[in-house]
Amino acid sequence: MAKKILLVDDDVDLLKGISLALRSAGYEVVIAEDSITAVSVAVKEKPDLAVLDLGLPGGDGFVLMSRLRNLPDLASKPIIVVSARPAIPTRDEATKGGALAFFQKPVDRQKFMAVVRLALAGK
Amino acid sequence: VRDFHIQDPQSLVDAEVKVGGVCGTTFNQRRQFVGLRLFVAHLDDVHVLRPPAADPFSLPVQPLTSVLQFNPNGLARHRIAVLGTITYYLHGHVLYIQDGENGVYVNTDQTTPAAPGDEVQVVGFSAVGGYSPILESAIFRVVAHHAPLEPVVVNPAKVITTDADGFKSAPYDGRLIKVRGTLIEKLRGADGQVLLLLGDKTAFRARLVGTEEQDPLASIENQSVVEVTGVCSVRSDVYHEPRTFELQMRSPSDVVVLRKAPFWNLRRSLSLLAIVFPFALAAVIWIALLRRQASMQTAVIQKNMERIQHSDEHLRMILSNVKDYAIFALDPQGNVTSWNEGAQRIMGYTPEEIIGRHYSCIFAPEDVASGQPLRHLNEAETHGSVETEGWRLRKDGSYYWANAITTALRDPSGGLRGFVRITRDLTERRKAEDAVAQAQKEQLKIKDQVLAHVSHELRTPVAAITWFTGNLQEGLLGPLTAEQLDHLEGIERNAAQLGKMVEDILNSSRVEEGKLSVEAHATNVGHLIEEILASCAASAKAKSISTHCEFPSDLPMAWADPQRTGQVIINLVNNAIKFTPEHGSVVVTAHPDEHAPEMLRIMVKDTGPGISAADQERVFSRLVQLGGTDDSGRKGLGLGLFISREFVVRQGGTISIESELGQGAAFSFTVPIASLQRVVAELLAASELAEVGLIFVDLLGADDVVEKNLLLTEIQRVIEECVRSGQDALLPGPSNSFFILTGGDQSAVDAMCLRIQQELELNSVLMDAGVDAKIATQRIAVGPVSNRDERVNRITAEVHDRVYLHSQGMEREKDGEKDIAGRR
Repeated sequence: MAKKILLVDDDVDLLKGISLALRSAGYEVVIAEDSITAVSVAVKEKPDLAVLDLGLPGGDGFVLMSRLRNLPDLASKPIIVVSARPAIPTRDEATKGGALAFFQKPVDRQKFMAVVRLALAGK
Repeated sequence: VRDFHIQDPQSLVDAEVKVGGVCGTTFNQRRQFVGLRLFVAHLDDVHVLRPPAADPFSLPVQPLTSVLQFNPNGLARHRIAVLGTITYYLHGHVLYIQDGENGVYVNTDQTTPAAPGDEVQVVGFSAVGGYSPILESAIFRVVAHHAPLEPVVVNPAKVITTDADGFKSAPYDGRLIKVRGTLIEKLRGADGQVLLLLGDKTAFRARLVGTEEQDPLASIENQSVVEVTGVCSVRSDVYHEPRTFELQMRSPSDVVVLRKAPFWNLRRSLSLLAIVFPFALAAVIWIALLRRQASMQTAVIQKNMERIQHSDEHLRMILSNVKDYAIFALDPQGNVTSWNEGAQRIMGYTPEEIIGRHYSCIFAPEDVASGQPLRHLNEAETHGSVETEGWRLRKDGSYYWANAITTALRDPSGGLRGFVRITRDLTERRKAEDAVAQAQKEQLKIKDQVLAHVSHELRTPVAAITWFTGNLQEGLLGPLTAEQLDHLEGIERNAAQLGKMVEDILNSSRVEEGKLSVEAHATNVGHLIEEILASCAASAKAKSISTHCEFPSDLPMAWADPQRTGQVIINLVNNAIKFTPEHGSVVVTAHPDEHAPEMLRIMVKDTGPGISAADQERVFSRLVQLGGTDDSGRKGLGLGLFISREFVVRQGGTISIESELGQGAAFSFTVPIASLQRVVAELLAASELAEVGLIFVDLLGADDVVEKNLLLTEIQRVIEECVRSGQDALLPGPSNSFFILTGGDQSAVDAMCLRIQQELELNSVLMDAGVDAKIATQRIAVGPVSNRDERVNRITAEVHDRVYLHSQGMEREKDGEKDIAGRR
């Protein structure tokens, strides 16, 4: 069964672009454009990995991160943060908040796909 | 006549004679002919033709004026008879007679008694006199007795007169006159006494001859004003012009004193001086000596006095006039000794209130508590003066921003006399500065916010473009033609450029704000260069530029921010590709710096047009662009090198250019080497550790370069979270291994190992990648070595030993053909 990835971003174009790439790589992708929708999608779909933007309507990405961590099904699932915010200090903030990796926009496609592959490997 | 014996020679006078003799010539010394002489052999050769008249007085009497008057019929030099009144008579010598306004000198041997006033008939030979003619060899007889003639009073200046034509005449010659004058000098001659007189600016003499008395005029002193009576006798010069005159006095009574000489005449003065002089001289010498001594001392005293007075006045003037400055003096302990108007105005205390108090009352309580008042005085004493700024307390409790200069006052021997403190109230300026600074801060904050917003807004669309492009390029939406792929590559390249510009703008604004941060880690520069060249391969290939890198296999790790260092290399490589013409080459090298062994030098060398010396200086400035363009014809923002330099400098390195026009350019920069010494020294400087533990982390990664680096980065990140900044340090080890230097004893080291192990095991990325992170712990206890350098050396040596052992172990593992990658 294909791994399921929750992709949250308020930029519809980016959602479209990344989700196509992930689907083409064999993953199942569920999307949300705001924090609130994201939580309900996560509860419903129980994704194996969450890829989150930080500047989101309905609640900051960090807030969303803690909400997801509080969901029983998602507490131990890896999270990757993708943001336009400066790497310093956002990278540290993200990793302290429990993110596996941080990517600054514009995202390096190769690295991003590698990390996704690593994050979902073996499970 | 050779043999002239005649009874009465006078008997021949006036006789007409015939003389026979030999005529001879007379020459002077220069053999010039001056006259004739008749040599008569015998008196018999003189024949009297007609004897003279029996009575010489029978000659016809002529007027006095006719003496020597030219007369064509008369006989020159012949005896004549004149009639006149005696004005002067010196028995057997001289007779002066006067007839009306004419007088004549008569030379006579006759001793006939006669007195002035007697009328006499004189017979004699006329001759040339001093001025007027005279009568020589004269005889006379008294004709009648009269009273002596009264002298004519004459101004001495008028005795000799000069008429309008400049012709001089002496009308009073031979006449009895009376003149007035001041006695200058009395001279004693052989035949009498001569007075030297001065009257109406004319000098003349008066002579008294033939008196019995030794000094008949003794009573008359020099400088007396006298009236002298006498016969005027004029002398003429060689041109027969009258020059001086002399009065022949008849008796001492001819001198009448009109005014006595002043008592203090020259003689008395001189005699007095002669007595006083030796004493005076002695006194003068003594005084001179004293004076010299005194004047030397006085000069010194005066100079000092002047200086003191001057500086004193100067200071007083400043003190009294200055209201904008608080000027006050302190004694060596800091008690106020003087207080000017400015001080009162600024600080609020009156002199009465503050003089005698310690000056710390002008400081804020917390500054007093921290010892500032005394510190200012100590610094002023040490350095002469000290300038300080700070918020100070007024009497009313309000604060003001003070700029104060405290200067130590010293006496000439160098002893501390006290201090002077000059304070300006700069509160207004400070407020204005604060306001400006605040405004600038606000502005920067707004700018920052705007930039952050813009960057966010720009980054997202760029990201979207990149993803869409990537999706198409990967054929996720179906196969594409070559031309379509070419266009997609153009889109991708432009999106990348746009993304880089956004980063550049952000970074440069961070440089301006001083917010640029670098996080130094042990960084493998060789890997970094390889990665960058791989990523730039496409753009290099487009221009047929060959790229390659050179670095030694044992290149030391750099102590640098890998991301920032990577950005610098990317900037330099991109520039090199941009400026290098087609078929050129770009070479990136890395090696320990020749001049600074603790640094790595990374150089990017191209075969482009080179950069002129003038451009080399400004190429690192913000927004400076040189002529080159990239393949799309665009120039870029001109921020790359500016940011690069900032990154390099922040990491403790330098960046430079070596280039000549037409010879290509070589940009190089340095980064510190992550040497054990450096890290250990920093660690020990941060904490005074007695013991240091060493933890060895051995990693076995994947084949995939991208994934291996990702894993390394991830593991490093985990370990970094575990180490305590300032107390522990992460060091690069050989072939994907780390050392952790940690402070504390064995239990601290064990706790650290456990923690790292747990963290690594809990990390899903690493777990899923099947990473086998071996953690070997080694404890190195360093005893109580006081010298820090010694401890650094000892720890460093220990770590080197462990590394050697580890590499030996690696060799053994390889020998055992253990497939590390295969365990994935």
